[in-house]
Formats: sequence, C-alpha cells, structure tokens
Amino acid sequence: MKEIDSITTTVSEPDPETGLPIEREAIAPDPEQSAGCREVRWDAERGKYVGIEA
Amino acid sequence: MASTPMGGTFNRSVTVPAYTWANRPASASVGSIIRATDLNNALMMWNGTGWAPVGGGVVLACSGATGMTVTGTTSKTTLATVVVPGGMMGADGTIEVLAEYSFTGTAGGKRITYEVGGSIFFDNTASTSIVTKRAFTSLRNKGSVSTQSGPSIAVYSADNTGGIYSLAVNTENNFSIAFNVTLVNAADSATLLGYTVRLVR
Repeated sequence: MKEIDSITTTVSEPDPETGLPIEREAIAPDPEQSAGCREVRWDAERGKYVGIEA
Repeated sequence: MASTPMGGTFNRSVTVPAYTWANRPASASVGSIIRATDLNNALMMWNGTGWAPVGGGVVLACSGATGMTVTGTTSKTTLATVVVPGGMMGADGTIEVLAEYSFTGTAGGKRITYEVGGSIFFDNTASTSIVTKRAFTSLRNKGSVSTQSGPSIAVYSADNTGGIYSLAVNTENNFSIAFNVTLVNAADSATLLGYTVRLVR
C-alpha cells in the first residue's frame, strides 16, 4: 500500500435536477501518484488516499 | 494424491501457466487456460477471439475497508477507484458494480455517481432522510469494445427517470471506475461501506 495525495479540480457535469451542465469542485486522488495502483481508497483516519499496487 | 481403481496413485493437481495480464499470450488454442497473477489469480480461457473468465465471471475488486467517508465539503469527492484492466471486456462484456453506503445528517441530499473518466454511468441522489443505500448497476459493452450505454440508474428493479448514459470508453485500455459522493450540505456525511466490481462475459 502507498499513500496518495488528493487534488482539487473543477469539473463540469449535469445538474441532477435540471440536467444542465454545472461547474463543481471535485476532490480525487492524484492520478500521477495513483499510476500502477489497481485500487485507491480514501482513508479518513490518515486524511489521505491509500493505493493498492497491482 | 488419490487412489485409482487399479490401486495406483496419481496427482490430481494441475499447474496453470501464470502471467501478468499485460503479458498474457496474444492467442492460444481454444480452451487453453492461464492464471492472471495480478487479477486476484483469475483463471482466463482462450475462446478463439480473446481471454474470457472461466465460468463467465471474475471479481476484480471487493472491499469493505473502513474510513471511506466524506464530510465537511460540498465538493464532489472520490471515495474509491478501481482499475479495470484493458482487454478484459471484449465487445460484449459487462462490468457489474455493487456498493453500499450509510449517511448521517438530514440537512441535505447525498448524490452518488459512478464514473469513468468523468463520464457518469450511475447517478442517484439519496434524499435527506435516507440513512443507507445499496446501489447496483452495470457498464455494458454494446457490440464494440468502445461503446457503452444503459439506464443511468439501475438499483435492482427500480424504475428509471434519469435518462440513458452513453459512453465511449475504449475498454482495450485500462480504465478506472470512480465511486463519487457529493453532499448538498457539508454538515452531513456519507460513507462508502464497501464495493464489489465484477467482470461478466
């Protein structure tokens, strides 16, 4: 297992009520650090993502 | 070792050739079986056109890990991701995704999405009073390794008013399924209790 940082980006996605695109902040594991991992999970205790390497 | 009717013994075990999925043979005799060492040791059989799971299915990921909780933000938050290795689905394979959630707080709804590369193939918002949810859906190749479509909500026999997803993921390449939650009110919380991702073909 390895710890992976989170990154915050802005994404555009359909609003669940109107279906119209809205901009929203998104928090996700750093894709570069996630490379080579078959699963990545948020670990609230560590405050970090944890990756399971293939 | 086991006894034979003739009184001799033989070894019943069979050693299956082992490969990482990326290094699997490009082709083989129909019926040949390999063990994919980096896919939970899944047994895959050559069906004449590709390697398909023996028995028709293989579990790619299964987790009940603790700590997959979001609170204190209204940003869309990825609680887990699972990679589906390229070339597993073929033109007619299906990825089945099952997950369970729990929620605290009644200040707002909790939106759950499953996504590939930002494209949503499951979208459902738990209303304020909901405390648990089980969400099952599928990502189905439609006669092509790079065309998927289906109802964007599919909770067992639930009716659908949410429209149709339409994706164009090239499943010959690795792709990642993201389990996302968006809280309407940051005071609430949502926990991904566990998930199972399974390939069927």
